Amino acid sequence: MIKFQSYRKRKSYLQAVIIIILAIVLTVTSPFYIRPLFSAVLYPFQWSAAAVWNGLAGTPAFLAKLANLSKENALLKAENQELKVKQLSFDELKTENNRLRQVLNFNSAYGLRLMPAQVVAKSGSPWFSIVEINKGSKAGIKNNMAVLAEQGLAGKIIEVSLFSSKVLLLNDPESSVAAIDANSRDAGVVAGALPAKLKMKYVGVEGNVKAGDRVITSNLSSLFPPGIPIGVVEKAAKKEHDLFYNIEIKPVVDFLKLEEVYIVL
Amino acid sequence: MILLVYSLIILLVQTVVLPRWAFLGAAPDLILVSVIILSILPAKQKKLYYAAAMGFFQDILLNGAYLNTITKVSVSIIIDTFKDNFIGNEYRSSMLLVLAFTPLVLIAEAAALFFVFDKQIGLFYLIKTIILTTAYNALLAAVLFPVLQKISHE
Repeated sequence: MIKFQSYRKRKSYLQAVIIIILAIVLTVTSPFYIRPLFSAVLYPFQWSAAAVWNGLAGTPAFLAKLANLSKENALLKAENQELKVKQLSFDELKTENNRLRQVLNFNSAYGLRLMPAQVVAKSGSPWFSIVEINKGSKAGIKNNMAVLAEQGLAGKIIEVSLFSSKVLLLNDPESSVAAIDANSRDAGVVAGALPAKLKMKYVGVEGNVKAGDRVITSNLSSLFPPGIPIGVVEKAAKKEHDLFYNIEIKPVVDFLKLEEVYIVL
Repeated sequence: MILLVYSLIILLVQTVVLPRWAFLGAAPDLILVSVIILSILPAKQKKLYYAAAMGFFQDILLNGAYLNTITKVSVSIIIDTFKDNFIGNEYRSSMLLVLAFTPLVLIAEAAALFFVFDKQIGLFYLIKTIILTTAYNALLAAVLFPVLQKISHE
């Protein structure tokens, strides 16, 4: 019995070592098809779960309204309910109208062709800021396309599968974008800092960056269109012997609550 | 079969629902909690493969390293090696192991990302994430334990 247990354990160790070596090999070689392939397998489940979750999130308010119905004035209440439903759909249309208006503004202001997409899933790891959206290669999405939110720059596409894509958000430490201070025109590189901050690097101390200045994408960037809002300078400090400013930026986009994005085509 | 359904639900809750409930950027790791509890329970299922598959699918949503696969398999094999030394209450052992392994796994992941992949992670953010995620995981372990206990008997 002891011999069998020892054999079983040795077999488990061997299996664990093989799996860990495989994971390291996958990390080092990073075959381009593995993640898109499994993402495509997982996507229908995620899409369904997101749809169910979004539906459930709106249900309690709806049920609370139904609970107020009384039998005496059923007809009146039914009519009332109908009006409420109409009101709800009107509100939804109004919200959508506002959103589309903002997209149109984006289009006219920056001359961009945008494709709206919904956030389906998020990375769930505290060390990454990545979301999965419901548009993939079938919709014409390609790697490195810029992704905007209603308020400004959100990130870029880093991986595309058939029906979905992954977006590396700007607050991920691996993100970086050429940017300028809209007031002083000082140029630098904006990089992510978890959980939801940004830092502007390589701005020389001879510059004139101040708290409250708007930071926008620069025309030096090959990936992002120029002039897209990134954030507002929260802190700009320079010490005596420093070469560069220490700049903290409050992003205009709320990365933790991102639900809808627009891909620049 | 029931473990497969449970795994799919957990994976979807982890990636679709929980990120929307993240508190100060920290969300619980249901998969780590499940791996720990299943490893301590006398289940018939292949726990190592479960840990590997769940870690792998978690990694599919990320970028770069397959860290979750490595950490989940390591946690599963470590618990399997030493679990005979845990005498007594399985529930208490699971809770203790969740409290012990959550910070260890987070530190290991952060260290790997920092030293190998040069990913900048602030010390304050690291400490805050460890505290919040550990608390979150412990709470969810209490909820998941009876479910997994039932599944392990199937």
